[in-house]
Amino acid sequence: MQDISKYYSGVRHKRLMLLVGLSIILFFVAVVGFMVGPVFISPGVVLKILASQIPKLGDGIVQTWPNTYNTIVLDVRLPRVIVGMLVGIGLSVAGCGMQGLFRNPMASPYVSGISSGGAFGAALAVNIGAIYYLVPLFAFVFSSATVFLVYTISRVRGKVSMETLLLSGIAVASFFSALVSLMMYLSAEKLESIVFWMMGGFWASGWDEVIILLPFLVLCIPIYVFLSRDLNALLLGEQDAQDLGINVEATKRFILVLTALLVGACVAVSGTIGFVGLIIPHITRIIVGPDHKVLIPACIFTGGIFMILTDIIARMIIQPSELPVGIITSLFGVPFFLYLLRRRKTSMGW
Amino acid sequence: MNYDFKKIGGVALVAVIVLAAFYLYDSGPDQDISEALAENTELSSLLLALEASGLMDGLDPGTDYTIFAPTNAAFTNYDSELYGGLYDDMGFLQSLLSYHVVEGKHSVADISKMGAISTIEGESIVVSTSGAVQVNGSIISADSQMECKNGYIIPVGEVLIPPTVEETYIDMTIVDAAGREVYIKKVPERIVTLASSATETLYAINAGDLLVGRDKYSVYPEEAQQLPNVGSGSALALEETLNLNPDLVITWYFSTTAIESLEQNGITVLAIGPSSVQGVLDLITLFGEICGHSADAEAIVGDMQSTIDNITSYVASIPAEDKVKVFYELSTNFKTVNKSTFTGQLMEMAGGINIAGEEGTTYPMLSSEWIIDQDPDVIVVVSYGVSLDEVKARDGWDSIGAVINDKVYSIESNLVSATPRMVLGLEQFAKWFYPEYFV
Amino acid sequence: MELQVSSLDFGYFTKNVLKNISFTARSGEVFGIVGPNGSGKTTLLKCLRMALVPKRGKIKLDGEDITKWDRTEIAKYFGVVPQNTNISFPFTVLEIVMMGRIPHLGRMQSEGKEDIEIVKRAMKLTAISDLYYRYASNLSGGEVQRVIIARALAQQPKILLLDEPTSNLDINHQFETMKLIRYLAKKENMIVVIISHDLNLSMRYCDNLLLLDGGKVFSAGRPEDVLTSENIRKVYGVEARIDYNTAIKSNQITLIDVVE
Repeated sequence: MQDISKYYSGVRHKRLMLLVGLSIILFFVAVVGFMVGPVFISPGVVLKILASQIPKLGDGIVQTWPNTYNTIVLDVRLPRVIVGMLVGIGLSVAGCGMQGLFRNPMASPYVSGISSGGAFGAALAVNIGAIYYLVPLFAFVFSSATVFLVYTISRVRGKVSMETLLLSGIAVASFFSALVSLMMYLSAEKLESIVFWMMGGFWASGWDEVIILLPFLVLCIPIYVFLSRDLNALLLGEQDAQDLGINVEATKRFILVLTALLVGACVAVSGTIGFVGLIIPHITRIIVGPDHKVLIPACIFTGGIFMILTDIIARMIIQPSELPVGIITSLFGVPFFLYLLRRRKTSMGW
Repeated sequence: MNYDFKKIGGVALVAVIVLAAFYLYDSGPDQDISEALAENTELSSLLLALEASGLMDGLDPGTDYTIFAPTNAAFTNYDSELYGGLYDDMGFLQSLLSYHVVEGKHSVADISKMGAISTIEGESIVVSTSGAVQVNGSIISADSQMECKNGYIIPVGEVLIPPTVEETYIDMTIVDAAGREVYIKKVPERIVTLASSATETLYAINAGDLLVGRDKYSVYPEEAQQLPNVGSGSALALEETLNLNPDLVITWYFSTTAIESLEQNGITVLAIGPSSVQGVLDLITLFGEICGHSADAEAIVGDMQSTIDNITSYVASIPAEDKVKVFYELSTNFKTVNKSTFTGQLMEMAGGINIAGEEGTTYPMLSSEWIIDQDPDVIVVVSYGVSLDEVKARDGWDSIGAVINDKVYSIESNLVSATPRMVLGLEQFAKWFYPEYFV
Repeated sequence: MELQVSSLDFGYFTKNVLKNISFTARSGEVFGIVGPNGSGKTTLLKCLRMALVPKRGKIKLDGEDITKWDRTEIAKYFGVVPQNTNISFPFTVLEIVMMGRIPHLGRMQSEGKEDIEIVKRAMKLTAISDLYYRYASNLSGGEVQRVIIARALAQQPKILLLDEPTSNLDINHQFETMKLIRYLAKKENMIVVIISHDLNLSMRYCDNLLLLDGGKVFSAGRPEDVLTSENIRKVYGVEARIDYNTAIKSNQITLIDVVE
């Protein structure tokens, strides 16, 4: 019989290597993201442009390419890849948290009506003719507010039943969807952009979006890592978690607040990109198992990898035109997910 | 024998003269018009119609009249499909019959000397004498004219249609934009339009008074907003539309549900969908014909054509390499139009090279970096799109020529769609593209 | 150590499910709770660990009122084996048992050598040592029950609360479990509070019994004084005969028939 201690450290080592491996993949995928685009710039030039931005190292590089390439790589591709990565991370980690909390495979960051709330906010902003930077603000405010609304509705005597939360989330989502439809019906072409916004994408992502997103991720993701034991215990059931010393109601509140902030921010900058928050946590769980201590860090990498990859496809497949990335996430992500689902060795847990 | 012959000839001549005089005295003016009509079996239909309409009694007994009398055969050939049944509407019958009655006693010979005759209702009948004598194209002959005490009855082979009636009957079959055959009999009097482009065109050709309803998008010109709103082609308030009792509904070719439900309710529906500049011109002409405003339509089309010619002739003189590159943006970031769109055609006509012209999708969404690389000279954003400041502030766009030279403009969306105002859009484009020429 | 419950009431809205419950359980003792379905056994067990907040009454551990404790504090003292735990996620046995260390670990503190030793011991006591790498979701009901007991033991509790731990087990595991429980009480000096449907097992392995009926204490004391044929008839409505069985050195209850 193998010694448990050895086995235990073996598992830890394996997990660490898995995370290191995933981070390396993420790095390379990001580099590929910088390299490719509808405008062909040779990889060498891309690397030189990137390197020239690094103090000291960049001083020796002589520019042999047009200035436009600098603009394209530094002002367009770089922020776009970063925003894609951040949104992928945000959605997949938030999805992971929601699935853990709900112990429901159908849970996604959008279950509490957050996307419909965001869409409503954005539509409202467009409809009242708000200045453009108010659109993400409205989207953020309304998507977060939706979560708190749903939470308040499903709170009975200080406790929140997950089933009620799920149901009221669906109900509130339908309500907001109806309001969006109503606004679209009433104000025709002005809201055409909302359709695209709802499909989601990164075609308009720049440094502003990076600056908006980054604080939310930096603030929220560590808390998820903090809560990973609580989420593990919750997978065994609320009562078991409580008996292990977890403050279940507080954890629920925490996760919901985190989802509201994180997903609200993602929705605000890139619209409601479907599928990522639902499927990436599942895929990651198939790869690394249900333990949130490794699952959440792994979701950071897989979410980033997946989003960058799908965005590369979205902008390359019919270049120089683009497809909304939400189409690609489903088109390419679903078959991959189903493949994993078929060949997995262990039960997923639901 | 010679003597005898002279004598007989003289007697015969006298006899003939006497007989002729007798005959003339006897057959002519001792009958009046109504008696003559009643005797003539060939004109029984006319008599019936005159009596039914009460016109017969309305004629002044002390006045002479000349009546163009359609024969029974003419009544049989009368196109009741087109003009409506004779006895469906008494007012119509009266005005139709009145058009056959002229004051005064005119023989065919007299008539042949006139260019036109005025009927008792003041409308005019055209007389033509090239070949046989004709009234409104129907032959009349002295052989068949009947002189009465109080006038002439001149049989005609057709029922004469007054020009005011003739004009409203257009009797056209149009293959519309939905590929349907639409038969339009007469100038519509109650039009409901479910296509803003049609609304605008109708007002432009001064046929706005024919409109009784509109869709919610028809807000130009302002008068259109006074009309009842019946929703839209995709979400039609059917009851309200039917309640307006339209005799023609004009809609977009893609509003198939509306077309179907209106047709089921027996309403004539014309589908439109002009997709080219020529298409718009043709549509204006068509609407001119349908609404009896051909002159207005021709005037507008002429004006538009000369503006277009003016611009295109200059554009033709610009070498391809000197043409400006244009990026046109719709409501969503980087979403644009290819050359198959109306806006795309206008841009091209105004001498712009649409950077997305050759894209496979109609409304492609371009990559930001590609636009930067294409370096358009002019950027035009549709009025309901993003603000110009936002466009200029986009990451990396400060390297685009259009942004550097501050050639970023916003255009009213209606100026670049298929309406008579498209020439304004075209002019606007031309001014932005070649300001040094089109001041 | 002494777990003292006094005049405890619990209820939803106005209806009281538990009425005026008082008892004391001590270290080294297996304290059994018996009673028919709906008599409030599981509710009482939940109240003991503040999973449900009593309306009235006190729960004291060595004289200290636990109603003010936070979750982590309670989890350090109370280990719980619930009636049925459904482990559907592919956690390994080791991972599940290790969760018992959660109350003792700081948020960012990872499991150390000491924790692994504690977990190993818990697994050894519950005889699941060689299952450690297996997925708990693939184990039998009895094995899962032992994994959950091991998880509770890994909490190093002073009080072990078990809700019908033997109901899913075949008879040999029932005996093993009851023996383990006695071992934990006697050798580890824990307070063991156990709910059981099996009157014979309760009679044989418990030191003290609490017989609940309709949310009230019907009878309390030594098993042979509590589980009398009269009490069984009154509470369960079943005719029972009670004999002393020399083979097990305990009273044996034979259930005869439902009282007409």
